[in-house]
Amino acid sequence: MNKFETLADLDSLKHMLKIDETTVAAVQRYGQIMDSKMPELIEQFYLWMSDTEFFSRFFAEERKIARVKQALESYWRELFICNLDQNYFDSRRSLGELHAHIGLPVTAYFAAMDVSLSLILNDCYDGSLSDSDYHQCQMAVMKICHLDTTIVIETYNQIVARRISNQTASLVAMSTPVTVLWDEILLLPIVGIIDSSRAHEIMESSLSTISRTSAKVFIFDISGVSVVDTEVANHLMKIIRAAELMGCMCITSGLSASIAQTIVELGIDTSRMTTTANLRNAVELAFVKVGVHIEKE
Amino acid sequence: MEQQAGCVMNRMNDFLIITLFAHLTVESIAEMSQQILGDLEERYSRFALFDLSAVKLMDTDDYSALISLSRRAELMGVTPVMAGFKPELAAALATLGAHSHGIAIYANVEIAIAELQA
Repeated sequence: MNKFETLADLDSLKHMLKIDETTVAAVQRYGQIMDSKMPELIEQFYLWMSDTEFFSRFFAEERKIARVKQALESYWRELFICNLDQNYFDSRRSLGELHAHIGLPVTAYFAAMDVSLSLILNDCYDGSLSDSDYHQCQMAVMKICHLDTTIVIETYNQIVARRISNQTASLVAMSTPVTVLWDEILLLPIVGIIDSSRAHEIMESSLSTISRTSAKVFIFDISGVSVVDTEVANHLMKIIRAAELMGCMCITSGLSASIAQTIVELGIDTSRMTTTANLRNAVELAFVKVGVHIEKE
Repeated sequence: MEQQAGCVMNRMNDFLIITLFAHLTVESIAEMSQQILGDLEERYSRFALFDLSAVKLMDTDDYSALISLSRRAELMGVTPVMAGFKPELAAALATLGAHSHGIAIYANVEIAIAELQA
């Protein structure tokens, strides 16, 4: 769920940034000055942006530029109206979603906000306010910009985090391909690095497949694993014991010399472990265990 | 079919099939032990088949009590056999360091009977 889903969350954010009615009034006051300066602001902003490296990547087409310019003008007008209701926050969230969707770098967004602020508070300012009022308006506009930035970046981060989490889940699912090798024989080739979370995933998918297929032999081929630590070795032993409790014998094949040495040095009890030098021997042993006899014609 | 504290006992040829209830305790295992051992002594069953397919929760004390019961059956010349461990229960017991103690374990009751009768 988005952190800024409800108005209550948004109120707490306003409270944190010390945005009150005085702030809103100051922004609206400054907005009256900016009203006639809006075309100048947009043009100067695009002048700056056309010089940046991300411009050609994201805003190269003329039609797109015109649309984005219009959206930008609406954005700043909305900010200066400063009606901080649900619609306002929804529009800022949409902006965060859009940036995440097109993959606009966060640094580009921060740079754009910084340049916009400088244009609004310096270049486009007509000098019509007293020094103290200008200072108050300046602080108020910056606060609202910080509010916007917080919502946009929070939304951006949540979308990116969700994307990474989905990708991780897919990778984990792909990294434990428990395969039915033969009736009552399962094979899990493990490649790469085993950490605790992967070991946990291996245990879960192995046991559920053993339960579903009533397999009698489970072959772990770890010839593609180069390193194990105590925790992972213990986790593998746990999987072997759990499989045994489910009536399934585990055969571990392809232990490298370094892993074998590590296991012995760590003093892990290997008495319940059936090992073979390679996958071929493991398959042969598995066939014997389930009573399959293979003959060449 | 006979219902005891914590289990239901069924007899089939050489088998005494003991279906254990969802939640086992050391006390309920102790209570059913006398009935099970008495039945084994009386009817000369060759196999005591513990069906754990309904058991959702068991700690190492409960499991040790079950192993101890199996050992006593073994001393009476009966082959103790277990079947039907759920993946979650097997994972939990393995995490606590439990293992089969050399007792034959099968995926389910059907497979156990088929294998032992073969």
